Amino acid sequence: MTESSKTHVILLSCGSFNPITKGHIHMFEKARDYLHKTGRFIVIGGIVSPVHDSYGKPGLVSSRHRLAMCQLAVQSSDWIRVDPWECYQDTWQTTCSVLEHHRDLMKRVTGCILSNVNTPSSTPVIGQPQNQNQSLYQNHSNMKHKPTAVKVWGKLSESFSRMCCVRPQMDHFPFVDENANLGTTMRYEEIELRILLLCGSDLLESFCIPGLWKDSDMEVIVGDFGIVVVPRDGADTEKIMNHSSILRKFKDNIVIVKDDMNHPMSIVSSTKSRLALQHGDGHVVDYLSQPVIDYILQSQLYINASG
Amino acid sequence: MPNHKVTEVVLLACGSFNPITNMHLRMFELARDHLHDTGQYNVVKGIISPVGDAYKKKGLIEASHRLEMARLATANSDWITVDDWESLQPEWLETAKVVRHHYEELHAEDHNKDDVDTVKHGKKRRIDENHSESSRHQKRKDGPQLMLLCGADVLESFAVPNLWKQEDIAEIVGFYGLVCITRSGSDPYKFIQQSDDLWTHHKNIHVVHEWITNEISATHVRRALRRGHSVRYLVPENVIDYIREQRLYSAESERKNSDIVLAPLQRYTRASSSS
Repeated sequence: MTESSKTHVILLSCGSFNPITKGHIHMFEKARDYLHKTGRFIVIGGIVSPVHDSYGKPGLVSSRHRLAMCQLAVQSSDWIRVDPWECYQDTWQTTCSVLEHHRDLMKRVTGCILSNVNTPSSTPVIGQPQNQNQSLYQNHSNMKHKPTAVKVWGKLSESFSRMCCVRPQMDHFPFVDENANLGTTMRYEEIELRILLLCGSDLLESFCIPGLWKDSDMEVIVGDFGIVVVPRDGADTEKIMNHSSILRKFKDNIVIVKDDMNHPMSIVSSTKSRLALQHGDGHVVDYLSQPVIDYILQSQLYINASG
Repeated sequence: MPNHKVTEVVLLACGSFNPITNMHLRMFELARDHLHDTGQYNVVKGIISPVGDAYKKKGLIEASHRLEMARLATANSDWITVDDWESLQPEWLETAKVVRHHYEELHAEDHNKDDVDTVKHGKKRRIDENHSESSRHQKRKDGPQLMLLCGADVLESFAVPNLWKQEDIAEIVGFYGLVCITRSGSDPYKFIQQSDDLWTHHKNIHVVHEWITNEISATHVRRALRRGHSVRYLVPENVIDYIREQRLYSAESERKNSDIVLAPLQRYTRASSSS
């Protein structure tokens, strides 16, 4: 990268968002601030991509609710948006396929993004078209699609489920134009645009568990795309990096966001939020934004203990 | 006997036009042929609206040159014109605003006395939709319909959540109209079908397939010029002469704005006010 050209970045975060917390938003904001401070990046967008219902994690509320809550949480943000693509597919998608989907879409609309970005909208995401009817989301119990490791390691980060990544066919673009790119970086008339996976240190840790991720998938996620990690819960990211050969190999593609480890947001989690809701714990207002809390109460979500 | 009313249409193309190429001009011709073939439209005018310098795109040369090249390129055309309003604005403008402006220009003579607030013009009209006096349908009878001429990527970008304001999409597709030039390999019909908003107005979205493989890109033209290569037959003759006389498109001009953030993205680089 030359001094005069910064990389334009879109941060993509995959997860259950069950529910989306203030910690998730904090993660986005911290990542953007940090990337800007390095002087090498311009973050032009953030995408929250909730996982498909068929992921089947106990206690996972319907995607309709999770999308609505995500939209409420980002409605005042002028750069973070919610993408329902994963939820609208037939089945849950691997992290690889989500990254590749967004890259392929960005390839086609980069010009529009870079030339016609609007002021924030409060347009509800669930007004977006669905490929199929709602009934598809009800097949929660289809356990045979879930990798064995998920059942065993249920308590660990939700991202572990992505391990059985089968790489989808790359679409072939028959023409080359000024918006085209044949790799994972998009170029629009000399503007470089990358999609980076934004995650917490728990995902990074999951890379080190032997057999949990396919090496080829990790190579795509870390090697082809790149990750931005916001440490949480006092994680030692240096130690984590040292434990995985793939992480070491692609360490140039991994940005660890240096943040105040004592920041109250670093201990927020969806699990804590659900527990607080179940127990009527007032601390929930520290974890979730008010519109999200209101929605949860109105829709009577997370009343019963689960997961 | 059915009343076959032919609607007059004006096509508006926004873009850098840095420089204008034969591809840009072909787009207009293709769009006009397509609309004429439907038997419902008569394209009376085409407008090229180059973006202002405030856009701050790397390698974007001065608007005055881009305007002049576009004028030279369309000198022989009896229907395509160049408009400098957008380029004269001090700040960069969203596409929707440019479309709105041109619509109002076209209907300047037909303005009702109460349509003073031009920014909310489109919104006001939607509110008054059921009111027969100022109905959209009646408005269009008095003047030509303005359609945005663009590539299929604009259509697809409508499906990207929160990239456009819903009301802008509704306005552009519902009230104005879109002519999308697409190449083989992309499937714009799928996007239209999958979107309730777009499907409602699908009669206003005209998809035109480009049957000549046309890969002329302004970026490649600039690169060829920097290297002293010929761009003959990619760009009109008189534009080539102008580029040569004015010594446009050097390595230096390509570096212009290279340290500056693109105007629409500048707000993203302001410090965030997170907790």
